[in-house]
Amino acid sequence: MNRVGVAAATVALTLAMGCSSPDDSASTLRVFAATSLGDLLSDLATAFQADPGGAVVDDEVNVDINVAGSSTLRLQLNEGASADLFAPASTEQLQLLDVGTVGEPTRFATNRLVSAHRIGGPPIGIEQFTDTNLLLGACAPSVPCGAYAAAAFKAAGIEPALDTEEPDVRSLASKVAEGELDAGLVYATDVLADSRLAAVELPSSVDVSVLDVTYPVAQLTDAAHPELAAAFIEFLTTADARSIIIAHGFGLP
Amino acid sequence: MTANGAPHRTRRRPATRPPASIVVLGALGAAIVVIPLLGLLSRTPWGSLLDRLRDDTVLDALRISLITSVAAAALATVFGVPLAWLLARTRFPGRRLLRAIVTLPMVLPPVVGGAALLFALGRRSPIGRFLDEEFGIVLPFSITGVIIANTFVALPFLVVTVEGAIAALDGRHESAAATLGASRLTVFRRVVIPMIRPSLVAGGVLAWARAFGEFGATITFAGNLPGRTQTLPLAVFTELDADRDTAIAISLLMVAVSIAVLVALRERWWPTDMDSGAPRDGVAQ
Amino acid sequence: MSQVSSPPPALGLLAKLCFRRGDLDLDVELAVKPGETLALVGPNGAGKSTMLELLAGLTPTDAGAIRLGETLLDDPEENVFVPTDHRAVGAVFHDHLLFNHLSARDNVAFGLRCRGVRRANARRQADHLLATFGLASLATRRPSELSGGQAQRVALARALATKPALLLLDEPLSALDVETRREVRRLLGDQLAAFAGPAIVVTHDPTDAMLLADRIAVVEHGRITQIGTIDEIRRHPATRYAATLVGTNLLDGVADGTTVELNRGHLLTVADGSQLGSVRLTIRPEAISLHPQRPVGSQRNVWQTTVDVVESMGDTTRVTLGEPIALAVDVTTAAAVALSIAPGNSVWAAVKATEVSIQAT
Repeated sequence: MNRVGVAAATVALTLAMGCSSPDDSASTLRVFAATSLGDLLSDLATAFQADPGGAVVDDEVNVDINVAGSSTLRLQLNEGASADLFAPASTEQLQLLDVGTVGEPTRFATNRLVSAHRIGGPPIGIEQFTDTNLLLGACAPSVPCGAYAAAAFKAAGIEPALDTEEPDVRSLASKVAEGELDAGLVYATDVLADSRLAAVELPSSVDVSVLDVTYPVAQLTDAAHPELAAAFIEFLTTADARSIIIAHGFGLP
Repeated sequence: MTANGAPHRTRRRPATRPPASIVVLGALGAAIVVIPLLGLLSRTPWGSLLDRLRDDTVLDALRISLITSVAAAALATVFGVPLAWLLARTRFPGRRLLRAIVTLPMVLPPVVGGAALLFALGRRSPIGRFLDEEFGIVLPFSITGVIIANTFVALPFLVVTVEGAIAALDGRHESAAATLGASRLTVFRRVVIPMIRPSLVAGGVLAWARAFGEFGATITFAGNLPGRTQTLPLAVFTELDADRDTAIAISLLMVAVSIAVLVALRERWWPTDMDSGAPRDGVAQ
Repeated sequence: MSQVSSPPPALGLLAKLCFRRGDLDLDVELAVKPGETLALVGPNGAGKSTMLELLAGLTPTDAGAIRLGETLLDDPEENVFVPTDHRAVGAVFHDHLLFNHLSARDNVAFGLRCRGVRRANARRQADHLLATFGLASLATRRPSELSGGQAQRVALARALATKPALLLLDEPLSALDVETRREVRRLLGDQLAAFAGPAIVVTHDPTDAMLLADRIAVVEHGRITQIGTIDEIRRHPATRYAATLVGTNLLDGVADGTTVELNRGHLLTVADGSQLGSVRLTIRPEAISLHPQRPVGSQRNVWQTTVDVVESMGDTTRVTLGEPIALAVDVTTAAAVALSIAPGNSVWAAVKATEVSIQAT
């Protein structure tokens, strides 16, 4: 075999290996989850794996959680990425999905928007987001957190003087935590997750009913493990799951 | 003769044609770049393209991208050429280490670079605090921050290209210039720089291109605010979630700008032996 | 520096150069008068180019001193070192080293511009100089568009444009073909003759040395083994290299009266019998005659020998003889043809005793 042939074969082999699907003998549930749900779902998955509840399962159960911005995940799913469950940060993302979902989405947790600041620094409420002397941030309107922030500003009657529109809420939270920003509109759960952050709630004058920060989860129609997926959704409504949800600072629907 | 004694039959072809294996591999190499580009073109919303490009967001991002990428390339040149000279021509302790460090931005994930810039120049750093308290200057979340992030990632490209060119000079033209009365600075400006011009241009274009496409360090250090710090790559990323067609339109704009720059420069400033008209017939070089 | 107005007063060069680098151990002394041209000849690696490097100030000397007129250029003991760009030195290199990005005119003007002359003025002076060299039509051409000879002439103009006090030429003709070499050598000779200061030419071609220089210094292994006019060297070459250079024959032997015994045992008769002991003999190639049989005549030295090499050089043919005495003989080509001289043939050689120079060693 001449050298070019060997080279071509090597390339083909590498590509083939990269394309191969993960081992399906142990059932692996693939979940696409929003960034803010990352830690929560990780703990929920661990609990599910230990005790999958009644149904299913002869082999070991693995839960593989792919965490990214909701819109990024939605894009990947639309372009053909395969997953069993999709848990975005807003129902809007589910609606934008080209791939169908099975049944109605299940709402399993809620969150609320707060104004975070670094512990030790001056507390900053949403009304102060017009101050041009402060370094302020929110998420970009194209991601759920940013859409909620825009709605919050509108409800509060504020034209914010933002210095950045971060593409995902984790990077926004970390910039506030590092002190690079004076304040940012993030989720309450993000403040809980980072010991360097403190929160100022939105004032009662702001009509929070416009901010429906509820997390839906839906099974995708082309799920590889539909029974497992349904079992996981079922699990999310159990008392065990609920206590984990609350422990992470989320609310219950 | 082949193994069984029959004579080889060879097709007559000119000796200057490249060997088949090279053509195949080279074509695959081109495909690696061309195919994704074709993918982009196939999804382009040709009907609404112009309208999308006329949008304020896009025009702002274009303006910011051009300003910051050109500024970064210029800064990379102003600081990078002397640095390249020092690395190529002088000996000082730690020179090899410095050379390795200078190429670090090429190897580091850009986001890590952006984070490093935050640690060094952010509000809580000594430098950042000094600038803020004395001059009221805050580098992150400003267009200056974008330029700094861009320069950070672009500089190594220029230094590496130019250092090689300077090291390749044998120094004899510089000696000749000295005998004519040129000071070392004049030798540098009037002899060395013109002699390395092709590499200088190549390095500058590479630096510009890297800065133009920069994303990770920019968004981490300078943030993302339309009209102030949102460059074209940042706009693409933001729009990718909200309005994918606009994202594709902006991507196409970036491709068009890049091709325009590279083609324009190649003709005038970056002649290769194949393109230039001047005959090279072995006469005194 | 201010504008160059009139040529500086002619300054003589006085240099003692002691320098070590790699295998080279240089220790030489030079004195070149204003208007004089000294040729440095010698084998590769002898140190000739290094000497120019030191004189130009591209490298400081380890010990010694360089003085141009009243100016001390380099003296390690006095802690004086004038860098190259402050020495009024003009240099021409074997590969011209013109700046490829500048036209011929701007190349020539370069030195003037470095000295603060304004561009228009410098260009005018450059054009004038190029015209003097007959190169006016090449003023706007780039070096890559010039032939080797043209480029070298422009390089000479470039070096002279700043009216240097010292001129250094490193193998200026070696890269040129025979025809071009002759033309450029003519120009070079004219310019060197007209040059008011001292000039040093490094060359390995004895013809160049003869035609361009007033004196020749033979440099071997970092030392000057002989210095003098071409005639002086030809008459009394001090080393084998010098002898080969001027194309003469050099033989070592022991003298006893008018008889000299050579190293191989062969005897030669000389006219001057005053020498005793170790001597060196020189015989000019033209002084030896060749014959088909033992010649009859007044020559005191006659012997049979074989032909090693025959080189025809136009009207003259150089015949190299082998055993018993290796000698170079110049005869007319007509004579060579008449004698049917060919390698391997046997031939008789004869030389008069008066044609054999002798000096003690």
